[in-house]
Amino acid sequence: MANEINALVDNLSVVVDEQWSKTCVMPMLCSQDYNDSMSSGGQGSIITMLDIKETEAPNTLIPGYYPNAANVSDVVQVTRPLSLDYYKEKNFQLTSKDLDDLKALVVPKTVARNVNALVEDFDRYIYGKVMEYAYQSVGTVGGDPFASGISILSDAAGLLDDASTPNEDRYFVVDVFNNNKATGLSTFQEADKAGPAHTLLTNQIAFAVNYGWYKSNNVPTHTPGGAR
Amino acid sequence: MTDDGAGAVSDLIAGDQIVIAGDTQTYSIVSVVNGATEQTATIFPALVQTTIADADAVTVTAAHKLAFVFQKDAVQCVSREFENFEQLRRMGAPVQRIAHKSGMVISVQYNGYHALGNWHISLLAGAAVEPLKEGGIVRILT
Repeated sequence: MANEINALVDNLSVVVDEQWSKTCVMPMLCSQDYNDSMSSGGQGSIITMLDIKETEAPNTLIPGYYPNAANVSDVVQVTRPLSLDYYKEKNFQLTSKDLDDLKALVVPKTVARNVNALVEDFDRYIYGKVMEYAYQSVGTVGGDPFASGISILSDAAGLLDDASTPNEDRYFVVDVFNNNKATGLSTFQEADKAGPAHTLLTNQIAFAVNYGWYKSNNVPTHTPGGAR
Repeated sequence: MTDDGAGAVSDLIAGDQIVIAGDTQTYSIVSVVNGATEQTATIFPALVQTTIADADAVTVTAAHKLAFVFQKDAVQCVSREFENFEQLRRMGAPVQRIAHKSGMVISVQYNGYHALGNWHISLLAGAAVEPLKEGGIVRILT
Protein backbone atom coordinates (compact mmCIF):
# COMPACT_ATOMS: atom_id res chain seq x y z
CA MET A 1 0.00 0.00 0.00
CA ALA A 2 2.76 2.41 0.93
CA ASN A 3 4.51 1.89 -2.38
CA GLU A 4 1.26 2.39 -4.23
CA ILE A 5 0.61 5.66 -2.39
CA ASN A 6 4.11 6.82 -3.20
CA ALA A 7 3.52 6.10 -6.87
CA LEU A 8 0.16 7.88 -6.79
CA VAL A 9 1.65 10.97 -5.16
CA ASP A 10 4.37 10.95 -7.81
CA ASN A 11 1.71 10.80 -10.50
CA LEU A 12 -0.35 13.48 -8.78
CA SER A 13 2.64 15.83 -8.85
CA VAL A 14 2.96 15.20 -12.59
CA VAL A 15 -0.68 15.91 -13.38
CA VAL A 16 -0.72 18.95 -11.07
CA ASP A 17 2.23 20.34 -13.05
CA GLU A 18 0.44 19.64 -16.28
CA GLN A 19 -2.81 21.27 -15.18
CA TRP A 20 -1.05 24.25 -13.60
CA SER A 21 0.98 24.93 -16.75
CA LYS A 22 -2.18 24.77 -18.85
CA THR A 23 -4.18 27.26 -16.84
CA CYS A 24 -1.92 29.76 -15.09
CA VAL A 25 -1.19 33.06 -16.75
CA MET A 26 0.68 35.47 -14.53
CA PRO A 27 3.26 33.17 -12.90
CA MET A 28 4.27 32.08 -16.39
CA LEU A 29 4.77 35.66 -17.55
CA CYS A 30 6.49 37.02 -14.45
CA SER A 31 10.20 37.05 -13.95
CA GLN A 32 11.12 33.97 -11.94
CA ASP A 33 14.84 34.48 -12.25
CA TYR A 34 15.08 34.70 -8.48
CA ASN A 35 13.31 31.44 -7.97
CA ASP A 36 15.80 29.17 -6.26
CA SER A 37 13.05 26.64 -6.18
CA MET A 38 14.44 23.98 -3.90
CA SER A 39 15.22 26.32 -1.02
CA SER A 40 12.62 26.25 1.68
CA GLY A 41 10.85 29.10 3.38
CA GLY A 42 8.11 29.90 5.83
CA GLN A 43 4.97 31.96 5.52
CA GLY A 44 5.98 35.61 5.69
CA SER A 45 9.65 34.86 4.95
CA ILE A 46 11.41 37.66 3.16
CA ILE A 47 13.24 36.56 0.05
CA THR A 48 16.09 38.83 -0.93
CA MET A 49 16.14 39.02 -4.68
CA LEU A 50 19.33 40.00 -6.40
CA ASP A 51 18.92 42.28 -9.35
CA ILE A 52 21.75 42.82 -11.78
CA LYS A 53 22.84 46.41 -11.89
CA GLU A 54 21.49 48.33 -14.81
CA THR A 55 23.56 48.55 -17.94
CA GLU A 56 26.52 50.87 -17.79
CA ALA A 57 28.90 52.10 -20.45
CA PRO A 58 31.80 49.70 -21.04
CA ASN A 59 35.24 50.54 -19.72
CA THR A 60 37.90 51.83 -22.09
CA LEU A 61 40.82 49.43 -22.41
CA ILE A 62 44.40 50.04 -23.37
CA PRO A 63 46.81 47.49 -24.90
CA GLY A 64 48.38 45.30 -22.27
CA TYR A 65 45.39 45.57 -19.95
CA TYR A 66 44.94 42.61 -17.67
CA PRO A 67 41.57 42.11 -15.96
CA ASN A 68 41.68 43.12 -12.34
CA ALA A 69 39.80 40.72 -10.12
CA ALA A 70 38.91 43.54 -7.76
CA ASN A 71 37.17 45.50 -10.48
CA VAL A 72 33.70 44.01 -10.25
CA SER A 73 31.61 47.14 -10.38
CA ASP A 74 29.83 45.91 -13.48
CA VAL A 75 28.33 42.97 -11.64
CA VAL A 76 27.39 44.67 -8.39
CA GLN A 77 23.88 43.65 -7.56
CA VAL A 78 21.11 45.47 -5.80
CA THR A 79 18.72 43.60 -3.54
CA ARG A 80 14.96 43.71 -3.41
CA PRO A 81 12.82 42.19 -0.69
CA LEU A 82 9.90 39.94 -1.53
CA SER A 83 7.58 38.54 1.10
CA LEU A 84 6.25 34.99 0.80
CA ASP A 85 2.82 36.13 1.91
CA TYR A 86 0.76 33.76 -0.22
CA TYR A 87 0.27 30.38 1.44
CA LYS A 88 -2.87 28.52 0.48
CA GLU A 89 -4.02 24.97 0.00
CA LYS A 90 -6.72 22.85 -1.50
CA ASN A 91 -7.81 19.57 0.06
CA PHE A 92 -9.80 17.00 -1.79
CA GLN A 93 -10.81 13.36 -1.98
CA LEU A 94 -10.30 11.10 -4.96
CA THR A 95 -12.69 8.40 -6.05
CA SER A 96 -11.52 4.98 -7.14
CA LYS A 97 -11.99 6.10 -10.74
CA ASP A 98 -9.86 9.19 -10.03
CA LEU A 99 -7.13 6.91 -8.68
CA ASP A 100 -7.30 4.78 -11.82
CA ASP A 101 -6.98 7.96 -13.91
CA LEU A 102 -4.04 9.00 -11.78
CA LYS A 103 -2.29 5.68 -12.33
CA ALA A 104 -2.61 6.30 -16.08
CA LEU A 105 -1.40 9.91 -15.68
CA VAL A 106 -4.77 11.23 -16.79
CA VAL A 107 -5.76 14.42 -14.95
CA PRO A 108 -8.81 13.57 -12.83
CA LYS A 109 -11.56 16.19 -12.91
CA THR A 110 -11.28 16.66 -9.16
CA VAL A 111 -7.59 17.46 -9.45
CA ALA A 112 -8.15 19.79 -12.39
CA ARG A 113 -10.83 21.74 -10.53
CA ASN A 114 -8.74 22.09 -7.39
CA VAL A 115 -5.62 23.13 -9.28
CA ASN A 116 -7.68 25.63 -11.26
CA ALA A 117 -9.00 27.13 -8.03
CA LEU A 118 -5.45 27.60 -6.75
CA VAL A 119 -4.32 29.02 -10.10
CA GLU A 120 -7.18 31.51 -10.27
CA ASP A 121 -6.62 32.66 -6.73
CA PHE A 122 -2.89 33.13 -7.26
CA ASP A 123 -3.47 34.97 -10.53
CA ARG A 124 -5.79 37.36 -8.69
CA TYR A 125 -3.19 37.83 -5.98
CA ILE A 126 -0.70 38.98 -8.62
CA TYR A 127 -3.27 41.16 -10.40
CA GLY A 128 -3.82 42.96 -7.10
CA LYS A 129 -0.12 43.74 -6.91
CA VAL A 130 -0.05 44.88 -10.53
CA MET A 131 -2.80 47.43 -9.88
CA GLU A 132 -0.71 49.05 -7.17
CA TYR A 133 2.16 49.79 -9.51
CA ALA A 134 0.55 50.66 -12.82
CA TYR A 135 2.62 53.44 -14.30
CA GLN A 136 0.00 55.01 -16.54
CA SER A 137 -3.23 54.19 -18.30
CA VAL A 138 -4.73 54.46 -21.75
CA GLY A 139 -8.35 54.37 -22.87
CA THR A 140 -11.43 55.43 -20.98
CA VAL A 141 -13.57 53.69 -18.43
CA GLY A 142 -16.61 52.24 -20.16
CA GLY A 143 -14.95 52.67 -23.54
CA ASP A 144 -14.50 50.05 -26.21
CA PRO A 145 -10.73 49.90 -26.79
CA PHE A 146 -10.95 47.46 -29.67
CA ALA A 147 -13.98 48.86 -31.47
CA SER A 148 -12.15 49.54 -34.70
CA GLY A 149 -8.45 48.91 -34.28
CA ILE A 150 -5.56 48.24 -31.97
CA SER A 151 -4.13 51.74 -31.72
CA ILE A 152 -4.64 51.62 -27.98
CA LEU A 153 -1.84 49.05 -27.80
CA SER A 154 0.44 51.42 -29.69
CA ASP A 155 -0.45 54.14 -27.21
CA ALA A 156 0.43 51.80 -24.35
CA ALA A 157 3.70 50.87 -26.08
CA GLY A 158 4.56 54.56 -26.27
CA LEU A 159 4.13 54.89 -22.51
CA LEU A 160 6.30 51.85 -21.88
CA ASP A 161 8.93 53.36 -24.17
CA ASP A 162 8.76 56.62 -22.22
CA ALA A 163 9.62 54.61 -19.10
CA SER A 164 12.65 53.12 -20.89
CA THR A 165 11.02 49.70 -20.80
CA PRO A 166 12.89 47.06 -22.81
CA ASN A 167 11.22 45.98 -26.02
CA GLU A 168 11.50 42.29 -25.35
CA ASP A 169 9.17 40.26 -23.12
CA ARG A 170 6.25 42.66 -23.25
CA TYR A 171 2.87 41.09 -22.57
CA PHE A 172 -0.75 42.08 -22.89
CA VAL A 173 -3.16 40.43 -20.48
CA VAL A 174 -6.76 40.84 -21.49
CA ASP A 175 -10.15 39.75 -20.21
CA VAL A 176 -12.24 37.39 -22.27
CA PHE A 177 -14.75 39.98 -23.53
CA ASN A 178 -12.12 42.34 -24.93
CA ASN A 179 -10.11 39.42 -26.26
CA ASN A 180 -13.09 38.36 -28.33
CA LYS A 181 -13.63 41.90 -29.56
CA ALA A 182 -9.98 42.29 -30.54
CA THR A 183 -9.57 38.96 -32.26
CA GLY A 184 -12.48 39.84 -34.55
CA LEU A 185 -10.52 42.78 -35.94
CA SER A 186 -9.03 42.51 -39.41
CA THR A 187 -5.49 42.86 -37.99
CA PHE A 188 -5.91 39.61 -36.16
CA GLN A 189 -7.87 37.85 -38.82
CA GLU A 190 -5.18 38.63 -41.39
CA ALA A 191 -2.45 37.44 -39.02
CA ASP A 192 -4.47 34.29 -38.47
CA LYS A 193 -4.67 33.65 -42.19
CA ALA A 194 -0.98 34.41 -42.69
CA GLY A 195 0.23 32.21 -39.85
CA PRO A 196 0.12 28.49 -39.24
CA ALA A 197 -3.01 26.71 -38.13
CA HIS A 198 -4.42 27.79 -34.78
CA THR A 199 -2.57 31.11 -34.78
CA LEU A 200 -5.22 32.73 -32.63
CA LEU A 201 -5.54 29.76 -30.33
CA THR A 202 -1.85 29.39 -29.60
CA ASN A 203 -1.06 33.02 -28.88
CA GLN A 204 1.15 33.29 -31.95
CA ILE A 205 -0.95 36.32 -32.65
CA ALA A 206 1.38 38.05 -30.22
CA PHE A 207 3.88 38.84 -32.88
CA ALA A 208 1.34 40.73 -34.93
CA VAL A 209 1.00 43.34 -32.21
CA ASN A 210 4.44 43.25 -30.58
CA TYR A 211 3.11 41.90 -27.31
CA GLY A 212 2.76 38.45 -25.94
CA TRP A 213 -1.04 38.13 -25.94
CA TYR A 214 -2.71 36.31 -23.06
CA LYS A 215 -6.39 35.92 -22.47
CA SER A 216 -7.34 35.32 -18.86
CA ASN A 217 -10.64 34.45 -17.25
CA ASN A 218 -9.35 35.83 -13.98
CA VAL A 219 -8.77 39.46 -14.91
CA PRO A 220 -10.50 41.32 -12.08
CA THR A 221 -12.61 44.44 -12.03
CA HIS A 222 -11.14 47.05 -9.75
CA THR A 223 -13.75 48.98 -7.82
CA PRO A 224 -12.36 52.12 -6.19
CA GLY A 225 -12.70 52.67 -2.50
CA GLY A 226 -14.92 55.71 -2.51
CA ALA A 227 -16.26 58.66 -4.49
CA ARG A 228 -14.60 62.05 -4.36
CA MET B 1 0.30 62.24 -0.23
CA THR B 2 -2.15 63.24 2.46
CA ASP B 3 -5.81 63.40 1.60
CA ASP B 4 -7.56 65.50 4.25
CA GLY B 5 -10.82 65.49 2.33
CA ALA B 6 -11.38 61.86 3.09
CA GLY B 7 -14.61 61.68 4.97
CA ALA B 8 -14.65 57.95 5.47
CA VAL B 9 -11.63 55.91 6.44
CA SER B 10 -12.04 53.65 3.43
CA ASP B 11 -12.02 56.44 0.85
CA LEU B 12 -8.99 55.38 -1.16
CA ILE B 13 -7.80 51.80 -1.41
CA ALA B 14 -4.70 50.15 -2.80
CA GLY B 15 -4.98 49.70 -6.55
CA ASP B 16 -7.02 52.86 -7.13
CA GLN B 17 -5.92 55.07 -9.97
CA ILE B 18 -6.04 58.82 -9.36
CA VAL B 19 -5.49 61.98 -11.35
CA ILE B 20 -4.48 65.22 -9.66
CA ALA B 21 -5.84 68.41 -11.18
CA GLY B 22 -3.31 70.00 -13.51
CA ASP B 23 -1.16 66.88 -13.79
CA THR B 24 -0.98 64.68 -16.89
CA GLN B 25 0.49 61.73 -14.97
CA THR B 26 -1.86 59.19 -13.45
CA TYR B 27 -0.92 57.61 -10.16
CA SER B 28 -1.66 54.24 -8.61
CA ILE B 29 -2.34 53.93 -4.91
CA VAL B 30 0.20 51.52 -3.45
CA SER B 31 -1.05 51.64 0.12
CA VAL B 32 -3.02 53.88 2.47
CA VAL B 33 -2.87 54.62 6.16
CA ASN B 34 -6.21 55.71 7.56
CA GLY B 35 -6.32 58.49 10.11
CA ALA B 36 -9.37 59.79 11.92
CA THR B 37 -10.06 62.51 9.39
CA GLU B 38 -7.45 61.98 6.72
CA GLN B 39 -5.66 59.35 4.70
CA THR B 40 -1.99 59.17 3.88
CA ALA B 41 -1.45 57.40 0.59
CA THR B 42 1.72 56.06 -0.97
CA ILE B 43 1.54 56.56 -4.71
CA PHE B 44 3.36 55.25 -7.75
CA PRO B 45 5.11 56.72 -9.65
CA ALA B 46 6.62 59.47 -7.52
CA LEU B 47 4.93 62.83 -7.82
CA VAL B 48 5.81 64.35 -11.17
CA GLN B 49 4.27 67.77 -10.82
CA THR B 50 5.95 70.05 -8.30
CA THR B 51 3.35 72.78 -8.25
CA ILE B 52 0.55 70.86 -6.60
CA ALA B 53 -1.28 72.98 -4.07
CA ASP B 54 -3.33 72.16 -1.04
CA ALA B 55 -6.93 71.39 -1.98
CA ASP B 56 -6.14 70.48 -5.60
CA ALA B 57 -8.87 68.13 -6.80
CA VAL B 58 -8.14 64.42 -6.90
CA THR B 59 -10.21 62.28 -9.26
CA VAL B 60 -10.44 58.55 -8.77
CA THR B 61 -10.84 56.42 -11.90
CA ALA B 62 -14.17 54.60 -11.83
CA ALA B 63 -14.50 50.82 -11.66
CA HIS B 64 -12.68 49.16 -14.55
CA LYS B 65 -11.46 45.81 -15.79
CA LEU B 66 -7.76 45.32 -15.28
CA ALA B 67 -6.52 44.67 -18.77
CA PHE B 68 -2.90 45.75 -18.91
CA VAL B 69 0.41 45.60 -20.72
CA PHE B 70 3.65 45.04 -18.88
CA GLN B 71 7.25 44.06 -19.22
CA LYS B 72 8.35 40.80 -17.65
CA ASP B 73 10.93 42.32 -15.32
CA ALA B 74 8.32 44.56 -13.71
CA VAL B 75 6.73 41.62 -11.92
CA GLN B 76 8.76 39.15 -9.90
CA CYS B 77 7.32 35.93 -8.62
CA VAL B 78 8.93 33.49 -6.20
CA SER B 79 7.70 30.23 -4.68
CA ARG B 80 9.34 28.02 -2.10
CA GLU B 81 8.99 24.64 -0.54
CA PHE B 82 7.55 25.04 2.94
CA GLU B 83 10.33 24.82 5.48
CA ASN B 84 8.85 21.95 7.49
CA PHE B 85 8.34 19.65 4.51
CA GLU B 86 11.78 18.10 4.54
CA GLN B 87 11.48 17.47 8.25
CA LEU B 88 8.08 15.84 7.81
CA ARG B 89 9.39 13.78 4.94
CA ARG B 90 12.17 12.39 7.13
CA MET B 91 9.58 11.40 9.69
CA GLY B 92 7.93 9.24 7.06
CA ALA B 93 4.62 11.03 6.80
CA PRO B 94 2.91 12.56 5.05
CA VAL B 95 3.96 11.52 1.58
CA GLN B 96 4.89 14.61 -0.35
CA ARG B 97 6.30 15.67 -3.67
CA ILE B 98 7.13 18.98 -5.23
CA ALA B 99 5.69 19.82 -8.62
CA HIS B 100 7.83 22.51 -10.15
CA LYS B 101 7.91 22.01 -13.89
CA SER B 102 5.94 25.22 -14.37
CA GLY B 103 8.50 27.18 -12.40
CA MET B 104 6.30 27.26 -9.32
CA VAL B 105 6.83 25.02 -6.31
CA ILE B 106 3.55 23.28 -5.67
CA SER B 107 3.49 20.86 -2.76
CA VAL B 108 1.54 17.69 -3.31
CA GLN B 109 0.70 15.58 -0.32
CA TYR B 110 -1.22 12.54 0.79
CA ASN B 111 -2.34 12.73 4.38
CA GLY B 112 -3.21 9.11 4.96
CA TYR B 113 -6.26 7.83 6.81
CA HIS B 114 -7.74 6.05 3.80
CA ALA B 115 -6.81 5.60 0.17
CA LEU B 116 -9.48 7.81 -1.35
CA GLY B 117 -9.35 10.74 0.99
CA ASN B 118 -7.29 13.67 2.09
CA TRP B 119 -5.15 14.67 -0.84
CA HIS B 120 -3.64 18.08 -0.60
CA ILE B 121 -1.95 20.66 -2.82
CA SER B 122 -0.50 23.91 -1.53
CA LEU B 123 1.48 26.88 -2.71
CA LEU B 124 3.82 29.09 -0.72
CA ALA B 125 4.71 32.05 -2.88
CA GLY B 126 5.03 35.77 -3.16
CA ALA B 127 5.13 38.40 -5.83
CA ALA B 128 6.59 41.84 -5.97
CA VAL B 129 5.82 44.52 -8.48
CA GLU B 130 8.70 46.84 -8.00
CA PRO B 131 8.87 50.19 -9.73
CA LEU B 132 11.84 49.02 -11.73
CA LYS B 133 13.40 51.61 -13.92
CA GLU B 134 13.51 49.14 -16.77
CA GLY B 135 10.03 47.77 -16.25
CA GLY B 136 6.57 49.19 -16.56
CA ILE B 137 2.88 48.44 -16.36
CA VAL B 138 0.17 50.34 -18.23
CA ARG B 139 -3.53 49.81 -17.62
CA ILE B 140 -5.86 49.47 -20.57
CA LEU B 141 -9.05 51.04 -19.29
CA THR B 142 -12.26 49.48 -20.46
